[in-house]
Amino acid sequence: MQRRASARTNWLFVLLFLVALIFVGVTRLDGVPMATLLRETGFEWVIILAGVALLLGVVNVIWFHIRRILKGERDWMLSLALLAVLTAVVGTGLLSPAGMVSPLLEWIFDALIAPGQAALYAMLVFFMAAAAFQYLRVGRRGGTWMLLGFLLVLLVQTPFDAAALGLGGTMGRLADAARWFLDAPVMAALRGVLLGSALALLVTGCRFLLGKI
Amino acid sequence: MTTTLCPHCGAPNRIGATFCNRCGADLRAPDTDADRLQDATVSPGETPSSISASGARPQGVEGEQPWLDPDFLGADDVPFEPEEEADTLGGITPPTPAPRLVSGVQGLLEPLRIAALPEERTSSVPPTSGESLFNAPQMRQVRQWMMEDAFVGIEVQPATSSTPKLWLPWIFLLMGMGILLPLLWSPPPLLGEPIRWEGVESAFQAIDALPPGALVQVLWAYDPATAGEMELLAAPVLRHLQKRQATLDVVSLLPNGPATARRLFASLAEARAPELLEIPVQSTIDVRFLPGGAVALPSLGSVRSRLAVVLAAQAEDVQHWLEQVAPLNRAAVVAVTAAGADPPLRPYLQSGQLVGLVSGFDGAYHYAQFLDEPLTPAELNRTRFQFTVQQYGALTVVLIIALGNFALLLRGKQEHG
Repeated sequence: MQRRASARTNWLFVLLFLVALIFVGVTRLDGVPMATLLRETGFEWVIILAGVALLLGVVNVIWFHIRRILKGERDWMLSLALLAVLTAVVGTGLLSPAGMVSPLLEWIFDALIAPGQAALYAMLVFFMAAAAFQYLRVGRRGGTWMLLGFLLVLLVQTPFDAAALGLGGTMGRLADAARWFLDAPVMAALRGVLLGSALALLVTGCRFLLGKI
Repeated sequence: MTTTLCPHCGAPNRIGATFCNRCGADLRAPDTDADRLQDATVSPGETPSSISASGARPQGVEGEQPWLDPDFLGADDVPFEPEEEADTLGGITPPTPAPRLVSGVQGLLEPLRIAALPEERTSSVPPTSGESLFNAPQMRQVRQWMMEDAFVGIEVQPATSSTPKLWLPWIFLLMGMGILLPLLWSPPPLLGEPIRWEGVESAFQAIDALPPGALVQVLWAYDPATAGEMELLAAPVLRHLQKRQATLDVVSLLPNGPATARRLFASLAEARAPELLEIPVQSTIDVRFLPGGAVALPSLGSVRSRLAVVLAAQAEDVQHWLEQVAPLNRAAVVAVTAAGADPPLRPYLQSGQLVGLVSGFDGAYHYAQFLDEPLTPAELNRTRFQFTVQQYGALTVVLIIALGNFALLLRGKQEHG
């Protein structure tokens, strides 16, 4: 019984896959007026659907946090703060005649959102330093190669003064080495990864559609 | 909504549900724990339902599955001896060797023995004095404990004696000092000549060849998180586009992208070089937000532009453009990316799918050199300061790596010497 249900599900996926494939194929046809119309209409629908999904997501977030506040769940004050900020930002944009380019919204972005995002991203450097301390070791398996590659790329991509670092004539050779390193082994590996991951995705998708997974 | 409680774990479920949402117990089956509880609570004169009136048990069951016999004792069924720890369970007594609670698994494995039902125990093993009995809420509590995932609060890593322990506060402190000290102290910069990578010159030439008024699509694929590096890159390229009087169609898939773009365009308008003042530029640049992510990108394929410039902090955004849009409108693509996105995009540059690649501080520096426009003093100071702090940060990372290897070396010498 379960096997039959699974097969039905897979056929549904196959059907959806074929419809999507035909749609994408049609969108790639050039010079066919009907194809152009279908493509433009289809992607307009996609954008509208995505916009509606975004709004639904906002509604879902609001409803979720309202329920948390009403039930008095743990950290409900954070939910209240989230709703207050959301209301303030949305209200500012809606009430101002300038809309999303209103001075208050611009200030919120410049003074709060932009520095906040940048600060959060900047925290990454601390964790990367900790990871470098832990894993870029000569004694670890493959660690020596990783360490050499890391130092080479870091040295070449950071605009150090070669003379000040005592690398007067060496810097150019290091740059050449790094360029060769990127052009030959790294490039070969990356192309292998790109092609391999695409093929693996294709095979996995086919196996899934045929019910082999 | 009205719910019904699972007789096995006590979780609320929708009325009419076939299986429990939490533990997967069959809510339709008559042989649920509640029923067995009821069945087991028989008067002394009655016979339990699993035993026939004559006292004979169903044939062929114990032969293959002896654990179905209430009197069965497995290898691990050792008699329970009460300990003082029993109090820590809040009065719940640990199980004693007795018929098992989970006995509905008909077959392959010996059933897991979680605890013993007091009523079942009365039918086989007489209760000893001083033993407390489970009640239904206690049973549910025990089952919930057993079903919860194990809590792993400690990072599990193979710690060998030769591996120096990582103490994060020291690393963070060192890294913080490496960044903060140059900010406060203004050390001498160690700026050298950045390396000119392939792709910068071809990007410059592609933009320089644009006729006045040419339509250029710009995908704004970075937000304030990476603006520190990306604005240094985007500024000279956008200034060049303005110099060529290109008409810009700017689109972003990120909610914060349009605001980031407007901020940079505003700063470019404020700091326009004197030679650019006579050149008319696009009066209003409408930066659109396109919801839907990469799926919505092909909708931009119908725009017949001369050139597309992708300002991206990650390589995936450039790849999406090359896969979804470039085959449709066949516009040449220039990628302006963070240094980290450079290596994955080199194959596209070499295959010709990208006509230019400007990445990292090096790329920004050389692109500005091609523009032949001196930076304003404010821009120069800001850029030099940013480079200097970056250099000392990079040196701090190298120092941290050296410390890690030095500690490993010392530890090895101590162990062997």
